[in-house]
Amino acid sequence: MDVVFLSRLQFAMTIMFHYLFPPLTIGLSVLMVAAEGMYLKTGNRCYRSVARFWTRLFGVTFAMGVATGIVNQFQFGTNWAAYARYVGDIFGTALASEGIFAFFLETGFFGVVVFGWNRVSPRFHFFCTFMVMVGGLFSSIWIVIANSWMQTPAGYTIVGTGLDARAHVTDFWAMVLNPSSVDRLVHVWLAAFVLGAFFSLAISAWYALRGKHPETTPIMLKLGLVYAALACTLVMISGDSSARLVAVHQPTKLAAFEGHFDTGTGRSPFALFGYPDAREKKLRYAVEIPWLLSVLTYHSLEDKPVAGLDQTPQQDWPPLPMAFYTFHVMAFLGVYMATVAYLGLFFRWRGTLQRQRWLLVLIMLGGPAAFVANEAGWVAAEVGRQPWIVYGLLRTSDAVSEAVNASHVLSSIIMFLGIYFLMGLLWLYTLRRRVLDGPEPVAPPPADPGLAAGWLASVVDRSEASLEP
Amino acid sequence: MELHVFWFVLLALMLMAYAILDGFDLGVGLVLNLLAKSEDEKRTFLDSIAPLWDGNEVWLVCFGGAFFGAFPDAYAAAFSGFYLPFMALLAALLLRAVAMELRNVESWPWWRRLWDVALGLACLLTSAVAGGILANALQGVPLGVHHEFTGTLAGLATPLAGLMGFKTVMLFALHGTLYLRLRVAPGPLRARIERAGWILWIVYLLSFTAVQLYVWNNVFWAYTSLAHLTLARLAMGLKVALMLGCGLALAHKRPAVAFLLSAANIACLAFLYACLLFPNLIASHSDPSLNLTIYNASSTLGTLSTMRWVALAGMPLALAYTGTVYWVFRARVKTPED
Repeated sequence: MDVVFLSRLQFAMTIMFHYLFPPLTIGLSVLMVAAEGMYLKTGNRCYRSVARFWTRLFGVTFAMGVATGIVNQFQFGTNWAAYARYVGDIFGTALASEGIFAFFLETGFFGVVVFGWNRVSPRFHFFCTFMVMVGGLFSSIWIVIANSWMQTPAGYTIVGTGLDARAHVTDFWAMVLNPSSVDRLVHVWLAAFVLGAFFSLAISAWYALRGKHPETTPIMLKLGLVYAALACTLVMISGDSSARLVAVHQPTKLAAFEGHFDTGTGRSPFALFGYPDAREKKLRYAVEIPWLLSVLTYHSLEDKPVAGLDQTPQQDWPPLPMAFYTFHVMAFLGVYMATVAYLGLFFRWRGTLQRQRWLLVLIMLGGPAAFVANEAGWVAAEVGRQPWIVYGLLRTSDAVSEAVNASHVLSSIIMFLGIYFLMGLLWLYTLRRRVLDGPEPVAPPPADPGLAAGWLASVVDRSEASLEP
Repeated sequence: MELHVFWFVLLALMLMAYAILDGFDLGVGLVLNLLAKSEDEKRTFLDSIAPLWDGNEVWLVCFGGAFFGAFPDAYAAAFSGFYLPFMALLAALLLRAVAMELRNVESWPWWRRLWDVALGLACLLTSAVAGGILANALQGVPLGVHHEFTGTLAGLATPLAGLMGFKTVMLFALHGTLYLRLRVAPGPLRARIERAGWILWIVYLLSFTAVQLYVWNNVFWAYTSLAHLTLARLAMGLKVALMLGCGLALAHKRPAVAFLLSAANIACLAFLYACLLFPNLIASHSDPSLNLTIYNASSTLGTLSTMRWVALAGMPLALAYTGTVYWVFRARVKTPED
């Protein structure tokens, strides 16, 4: 196995594991702010209990996000040294800003939010929760800008050739606001909100099915459904806008998403299913909706085809099945979640949600669906960019470290597999325990000093949980 | 200040902040199995760092991001050249996080023991590897004309790397012990911590002396310009004074002073290291013209300048947040909280 393949495998593995956590914390932080704000406004202690419950789940996840995040940053240097030299001038400001502006904000206030319920006033605590949300949103800005520059480079010039080539910034704001930055950032945020909403909904729906926590479950369902319906609606609108940008700036990528081989004439169809066969150059077993791709791309009924893969030499095609399936999985799950959220809101408005057990089950399934959709969306975005690491400028195969060989990377892959397996188990175990404990009763019993220790366990407020049986 | 120098200084400050802050977290992990006997004592140790270590690690993340941005060629050469050491560092940092939490999942004694040992080893590996990497950057490694690392892994295992690895472990163990002395309530545990503080103080002084002797005899010849020699000598003098002061403060039962002097000692160490390194980031072991310096390995002036504005605007805020958290959690462990 070659070092390029292994380095890509390792990066995919570590970034996908990492990406389970940050979108969830961003999505949950909005709910925490909402619930805590409602508590301050109404004085209803149910909201406080809900806010504290989400904060405990948030805490577990946040620590995982920080720990796995360092790995990705280091890998730009360890495995992708040629790339790091090439984009250093571009990435520099983005990564430095991310660390300085966002991470300190996030982790600083995180400590107070999770550990400080009884040490600071409710108003200051609310402020800290709000700042954690802002920090989370900030932290995604810079990395998405850097990634967007890799998709649609702008505001740069190439200096030097071969191994000494470097991309230098010529126009900072053109680089930051490159054509895809804003659209992709909005899409990432909204997808994170969808994940936060469905993560919370999955748990509340499970409580509702079991008849648990009758005081707080209806509140969690209400907050979650409103949040999910809003986020799902907006994410579809932003997805449409993102796809149209891809059509303009990365036509090969859109053609790969759609398995659209022949440009042909007339309006292009939208493929629902199929198998993109790169050798035969056609979409096999295709189920297509005529016209739809052209209509979606141009937002008009004009008789105009969308550029197909035949416009690009085959060596510049991304891996087709991967791009096609991940894109479709994301889109279908998005539609599924939106449908479920609207139905949930409808029955909630009718006041019969508790009786629609089938719907509660479908809502629960939205939890895993939201994780899969977030991951699939990123895989589609990144695989669709291949074989380029910086679109049209630098090939992924030219970007790896010269000093690293395949056995090095293989050994680090095995190391990450081992540690991430442990971390994944730990996360699931801790989440399970927090979910089984549930939100605290609204009239709390007198404080009993617990013995929690460690970074995840201490997340449980000391007054309510002792880990000893 | 000239932009390249500004970023060199700021990176040194970030690494210094990381060493001072995460240094005591690592130190607590290092001495956990040696000093804490009962489960309660272990919890006291771990509780003292639980709300802080996450934020302390951010300094490392920030250092990494700024290093990448300011000096991408050096970042690429160092991280790819020290591939396995950096992977070991990552493994250790992840393992520390996992172990601190997994120990609490079950209460079987062997289970807790297992993860406490894992935590100790993770902290040991982090400190030793960090020291070894710094030693290599100072001593010089094989570098090619395209700013890439051309050496082998075995070539990194030098005597200086071993010495500095050991010294860094002792430094953090001492720092962590002084931190615990400050945070633990009076009692038999605190007496034990105090005794350990003395032992570590002596071992650290010895190991530091060994490293200095080696550096002055074996590494300095590689440098053509020793313009910073005077500064380095001053820093050395100050460092010795700080260490002696730290011992005096221990003897006079002034734990806060001892801890602050230990932090100042780490700051002084960072300064000394920066003096020896400047203006290199990674030295070539054979040809000084291949050295990766703050001038030939940097981003463009435009980017360095933009980043400077980011840093000037953001660092005061970062310090304010960090200060807030430390203020909220300033109380001693085991004092009534709620």
